[in-house]
Amino acid sequence: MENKEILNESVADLTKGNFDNSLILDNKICFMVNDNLYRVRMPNQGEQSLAEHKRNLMQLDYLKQEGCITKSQLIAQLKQGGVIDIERLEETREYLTKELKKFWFMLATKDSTDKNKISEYSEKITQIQDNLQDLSLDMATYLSPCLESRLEKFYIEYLTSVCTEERFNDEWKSIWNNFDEFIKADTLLTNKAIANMTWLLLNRR
Amino acid sequence: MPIEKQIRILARSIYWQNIYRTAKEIGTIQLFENKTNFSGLQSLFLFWLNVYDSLYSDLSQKEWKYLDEKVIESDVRCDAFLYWRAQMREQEIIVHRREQNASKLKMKDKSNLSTFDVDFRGGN
Repeated sequence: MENKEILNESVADLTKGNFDNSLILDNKICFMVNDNLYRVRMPNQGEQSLAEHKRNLMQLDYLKQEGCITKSQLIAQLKQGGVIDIERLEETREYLTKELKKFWFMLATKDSTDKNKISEYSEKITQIQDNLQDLSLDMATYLSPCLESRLEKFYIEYLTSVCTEERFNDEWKSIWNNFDEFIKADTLLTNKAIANMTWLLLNRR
Repeated sequence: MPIEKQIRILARSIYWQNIYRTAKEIGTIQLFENKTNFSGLQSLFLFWLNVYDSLYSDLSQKEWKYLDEKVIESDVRCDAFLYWRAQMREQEIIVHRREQNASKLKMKDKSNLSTFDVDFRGGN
């Protein structure tokens, strides 16, 4: 491809508004809450080790608490109490995944000129993917009281409390001095920070 | 727009594909401000950079009948194609292994081997 063509295409990308590199240029994500600028940054090794240590301590704490339940115990209890059969949901997930693969296969072997079939299969795939997402959310909600989910939640929250900063007088400053301050802070800010930290840590654990 | 969708748009953009290709060739271009401790988003971006690089490479070599620019630009069609391509490659590997096994079996066929009479007792 000629340089001029490359340049033209790049400019076209820019004008389409597709050129927001900020998500990946560094290991931080900026966001606004109530007109204030914040960012979450990737924890360094020391911070990750500290968070793991705190999580282990928290595990000991949770284990002492009344009603502490592991994932497998909760699954059994939910089934026994007739609330929900998680294994059945897993089977549904497997079935939907097979269906997804079937439609992927059918869609992949359609020529770009076959617009009707492409649109039909694409819609079906999107629908299956939405169902899969709903199913995963349902399962996560049912399993949220279990020990494993609570520890995972604590780990992310702890790292968020350490790695969230506010832009103040042209400087980035930590917001919370300790985890208690984070727990008591405005949930609009903490929820947004947690969501961004989850993205930062995606596939890293 | 969902974050993964944005990441994929960036990864298949001509700008990043050119940078990635050049980085692969000379091996010294720094893609991000940080050199280590990549975020999950950066890892995801690197994954898609590599995937789209392989797709553009297949496209330029016209390796697959059903791969064109429109497939690459549509996330749904792209996912479908990637799954189908993986299946096809797996199938090729299975066929190749079968052929290899078949040729090994031919080698083991007694009719293709020479035999000798050996006297293990020794002596005269």
